[in-house]
Amino acid sequence: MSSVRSEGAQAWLGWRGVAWRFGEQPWQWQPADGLEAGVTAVAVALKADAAVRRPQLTLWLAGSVARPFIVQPVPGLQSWTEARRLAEALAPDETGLTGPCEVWLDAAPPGHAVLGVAIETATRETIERVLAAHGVRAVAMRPWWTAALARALDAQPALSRIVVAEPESLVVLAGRDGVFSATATCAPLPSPEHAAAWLQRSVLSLGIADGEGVRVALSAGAGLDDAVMEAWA
Amino acid sequence: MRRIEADFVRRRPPGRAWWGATVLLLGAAVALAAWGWTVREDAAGVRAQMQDWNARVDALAHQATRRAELPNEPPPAYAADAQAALKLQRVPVDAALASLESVGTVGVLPVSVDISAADATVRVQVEFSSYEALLKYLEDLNAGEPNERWILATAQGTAQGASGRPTALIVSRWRGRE
Repeated sequence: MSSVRSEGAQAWLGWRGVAWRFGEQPWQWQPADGLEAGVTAVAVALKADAAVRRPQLTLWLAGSVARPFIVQPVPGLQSWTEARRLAEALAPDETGLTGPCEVWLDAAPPGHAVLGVAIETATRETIERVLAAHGVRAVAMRPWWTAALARALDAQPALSRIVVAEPESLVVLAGRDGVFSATATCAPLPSPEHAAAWLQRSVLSLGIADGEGVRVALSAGAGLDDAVMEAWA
Repeated sequence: MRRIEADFVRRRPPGRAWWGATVLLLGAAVALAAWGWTVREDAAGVRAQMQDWNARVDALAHQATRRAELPNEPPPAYAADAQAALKLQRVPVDAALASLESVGTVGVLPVSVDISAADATVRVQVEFSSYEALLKYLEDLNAGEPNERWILATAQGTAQGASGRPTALIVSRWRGRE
């Protein structure tokens, strides 16, 4: 995958599982009872690896942890800080996350909808606390679906919709001409039948049935670079 | 759609160690620059001093070369006269003339006085009437002298001078002012 670092230590973090790879070693998957347990497992494994001199980690967050949503333009906003605070206030209701959230906002022209990415504040703090306790430094903490999107855009620049399937979530993104118009996240992931039904309903409700689409699927046990990308009809 | 660069890592502000290292590096850079400037100034001073020395050495070498070349050069036109004047200063002309003027002997008449600065001698040609008068004249000239200064060089009793008398040449040698 184009934007996924192939060197250094990397880890994928979900609520029910974790995966990591140090250097050029194969990806290792391990079930986890919660995010804190998963981060701990990664940090312990990283510290135990004799080949690792400087414990630094690139974290890829599952779609269930970092969720996209659309922030509609709100008249009267005076600054970027106000827009971000408004997005953080809207994030739990828009994404289904619980508790206070931190939001990363994409850049967009004034008066247009903008893509936001939300993570629970407690989740981010937990990750940082556990890593610090083990002497591990996080050099990046990014949603993995952003890497999948980058890979899909490399293959199809005219992409207008994408669904990213991870072991515990589905993330749908749609938009044209560099502007995101719709997002949806399904987490935790239900049964495959229910997931397919949710995806079909989302396509209809969001009005994204038409356009060039891609489906990227990450399977548990596989490497992040081995995610399957196929056309989404 | 487009790429999303969302990242939730908090970039920690630089710690005390970072600031300390930065200050140390800046201080080291300033000290290095100051030292470099000082060395540059010193080098410029040393270079100027070396150039001065080289110029002086060149001047001395040139002067020595000119001195070495001087003997090969023809002496200037005034050199002979200057040397003669210089040597003439070494001949006590006044004393020689005073000796001649203070002696008057009947039968001896000085007819010419030739002062030679080259060999510091005074040649006096006299006409004499008799050898007795000539010897008396010599005795009077050398009176009081620790050594016999005036010497009879030639006496030509047969050769006649302008007055028809015999002539003699009396020579005195002077070495320095006496």
